[in-house]
This record gives sequence, C-alpha cells and structure tokens, in this order.
Amino acid sequence: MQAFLDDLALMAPAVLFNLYFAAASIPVGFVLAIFLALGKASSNALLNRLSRGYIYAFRGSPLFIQFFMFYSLALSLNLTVWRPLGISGFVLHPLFMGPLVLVLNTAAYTAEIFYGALRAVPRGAIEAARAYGMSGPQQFRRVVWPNLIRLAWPAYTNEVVFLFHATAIVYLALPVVGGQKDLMITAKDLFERDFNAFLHFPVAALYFLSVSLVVFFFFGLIYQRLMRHLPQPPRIRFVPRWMR
Amino acid sequence: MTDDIAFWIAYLTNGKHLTWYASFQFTIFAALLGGALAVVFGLTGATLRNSRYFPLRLIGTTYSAIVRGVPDVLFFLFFPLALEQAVEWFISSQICTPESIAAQTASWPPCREANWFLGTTEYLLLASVSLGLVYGAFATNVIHGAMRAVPHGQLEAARAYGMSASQVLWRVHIRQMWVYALPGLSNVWMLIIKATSLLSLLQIADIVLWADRLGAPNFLPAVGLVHDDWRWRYYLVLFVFYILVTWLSEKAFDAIMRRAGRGILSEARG
Repeated sequence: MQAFLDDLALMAPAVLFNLYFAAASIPVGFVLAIFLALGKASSNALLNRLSRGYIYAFRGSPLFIQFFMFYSLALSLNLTVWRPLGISGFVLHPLFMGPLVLVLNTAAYTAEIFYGALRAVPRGAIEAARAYGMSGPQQFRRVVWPNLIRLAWPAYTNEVVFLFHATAIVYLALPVVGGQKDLMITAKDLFERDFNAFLHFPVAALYFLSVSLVVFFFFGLIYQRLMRHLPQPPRIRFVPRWMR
Repeated sequence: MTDDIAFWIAYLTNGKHLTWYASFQFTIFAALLGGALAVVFGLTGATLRNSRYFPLRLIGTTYSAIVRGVPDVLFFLFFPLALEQAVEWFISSQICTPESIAAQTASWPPCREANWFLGTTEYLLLASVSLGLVYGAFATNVIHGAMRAVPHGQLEAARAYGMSASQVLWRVHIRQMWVYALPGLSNVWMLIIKATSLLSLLQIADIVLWADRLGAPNFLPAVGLVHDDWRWRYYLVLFVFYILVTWLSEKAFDAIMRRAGRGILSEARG
C-alpha cells in the first residue's frame, strides 16, 4: 500500500508532461484542422488534392514513425539551418518537437472528423443563409460552423482523449532531457529499478484513465452547453469508441 | 550513370539492407496474428457482454472499458513484461531452494534458475497476443454493436425453426453479424497495422530498429565518413510503406464488404 502511494506521488510530476504535450497541441491542431477540412471540401483542385493527401498520409501512418521521421529530419538540418540561426537547442528539444508532431498528427484526424461533420450540415440551412444574402464568410461563421461543431463534438472528444493517450509515446521516440520524464518513462524507469511490473504500469494507467475521465466530463459539459437549445440535451457517451 | 545505378543496387542489397527487408516479416506476422487474435478476443468479449449472468457481463464490460481507457503502448509494454514475471514467479515457487535464493544478487528473478529467457520469437508471440488483447477490446465494442444490429426477426425465425440457443448464436446471429461489423473491424485493422510500428519497444529487431541502424551516420576508420545522418530517408520509406499498406487494406476491405453485403440491405455496407 505504501509502495502504491509512493508511486502515485512519483508520477504526479510526470503526468504534467503528458498534460503539457496534449494542451500544447490540441488548440493549434484544432485551428489547423478547420482549414484542412475546408480545403478537403473546397472545389479548388490544388487545395483539395493537397489537404486530401495530407489527411490521408497522416491518418494512414503510425505516429511513432512520424515522430522518428520529423525528429531525424530536424537533426539532419541541425548543422546547416538551426545551428547558424542559434535555435538548435530550441528546435531539437522534445518539448518543442513533441507538440509539433502531435499537432501535425491530430490536425489530420480532427480534419477528417470536421470534414464528415461539414458534409452533414443540413443543405437547407445553407440555402436559407444564401437566400438571406449572407456572404461566404458570414455563412460560415453564422450557419455552417455552429452546425459543424455540434455535429463533430462527440467524435472530437474521442480524438482529444486519443491524443492524450498518444502523448505516451513522445518520449519513447524522442530523447529524454534531464529529469523531464513523462508517465511512460517514469513507469519504465521504476520497473527497471525493482522489476515490479504489477505496480508501476497500473499506476501509470490509473493516471491516464483518470485524466481521460476528466476530459470526458468537461467536454460533456461543453457539449451540453452547445446543445442547450434542445429541450433534452443529448449526453456524450462516456467511453472512447473506435474513432481512430 | 550506369555506374551510379550499379552502385545503388549494390548498396541497397548489401547484407544489412537484406536483413532490413527480411525484418518486414516480423511486422507482417504480428499484424496478421494480432488481427486474428483481436477478432477472437472481440468475439469472446462481445459474447461475455451479451451474457445472461451478471459476473460474466461485468468481465466483458470491464475488459473493453479498461483496455480502451489506457494508451495502447502502455498495455502493449505491460502485458509481455507482466506475463514474463508471472511465469518466473510461478517457476521460482517450484524450483527455488533457500540456497539459490540467497545466492541471487539481482532483485529479480528470486533465483537464477527461475529466469525465463525471451528471444525474438517469444517476444513476437507475446507482442501479437498483446496487440490482440488491446484491439480485441475495440473489436468487442464493434462486434457488440453489430450483434445488436442483426434484425430481430431473423433470430425469432431461427428460434421458431426449433434451433437451440447455441445454434441460433452460431448459425444465425454470428453469421449475420459480420456484415454489420466489417466497417468497424476495418478501422480496428488499421489501428493494428499502425501499432505494429511499436514492436521495437519489445527488443524485436523490426523495420523501425533497422531503419535507425542503417540511417545512422556511418563512419569507417579506413574510408572516413561513408554517409552522414540518413535516418530521415529510411523513416520516409517506412512512412510511405505504412500508407501503402493502409491503402491496400482499404481496397481489400471494400471488396470484402461488397461481397459480404450481397443481397443484404444497402445500409449494412456502411
């Protein structure tokens, strides 16, 4: 029991790294995803191809490989680009590289969700907006976007939880700098010290599970607020589905 | 020009590269076995969740909820290590003598005779089982949903023909479930493919590990620097490889779905 409490205390600072990676990449990924989804739905052939290809490539390949690829790319540019600019310590730092790759990855998944929702926006609503003489941006801001985000929210919640789970592999692909260890590395290090797999990994899992539940709770609240115009706001499902 | 081509062909077929190409078998093996096991665990989990007895139902729901609430990497690492330890603990309780325990200096296993050595084959099997366990939880959810999507009339008709409960389950319910489960199972399969990139975490010399070794700056004292850091090129190859595999599986699943959905309502094709 004491060992369990010790583990809980040891992993408390570690969970902050996972939270940082998720919190740093979710907002940027969200904004990027809107543009990607609009690009995938656009009639401009070049934009359409580019965003389609981007979404397909990043959804079709493992995040683990993406981490290695971008990190080694940054490493090989180190001598020619980052070093002369004097930013190599910043660019190659996991606290920068991690969120960068996570943003690229989550933007693709989120864009696919938004694209699906965009296609599900009722045609009539858009036609009505056009009949009122709204301009393109006005239509998007007042009609398309509110519909889109309501349709996409449950799936987006799942994506956020999955992204949080994906932060577990950041330090398995990138080097650990000093004492900056996330949950996975802390659990692994503790395991290598006393070989107690049945204690350390479940404690790390407990942290992941509880943060996931907190995310579900808050995103559920936001969903209820988004749906407050309905007499009985639908509730978000409390378990991650097979969205990714 | 021809010299260049000859050089690159020779370079890309040297011993290390051939080992790299051979290591694709680990990835493919783990994906196939993991996928098959995921379907088995998914069927088991869904049957448990549909069970009449509360404890069994509880096991099914807990399995699918807990495993999906935890990152796949964590479970992927935890399961082989935990199983290895459990087996070693069992062996040690059988064969360890007080003298051999006293002679042991490391903290695990309790005595040296109880050590269970895991090579690539064992780790590969364990990795496949843990892939199956993790994604079986996802498949449980998919199959559970698909079982409920089978029209009730079909089951009632089967019962009216006098089939027993297990006959209804095996001959009608599970047979008809596949059409509704296929779109979800194709998603699970994509997840499994992507998770096979994690094999190197279990000390299997898979494609990722070899890409890292081959691309690392190559310095020979006799010739100097052979090539500098080429790792990103090798990872780019893997990136493209995984995209191709995803594309191929998509095509294959489309074909299977079209075939399985013959004569059944078009909405089932998803």
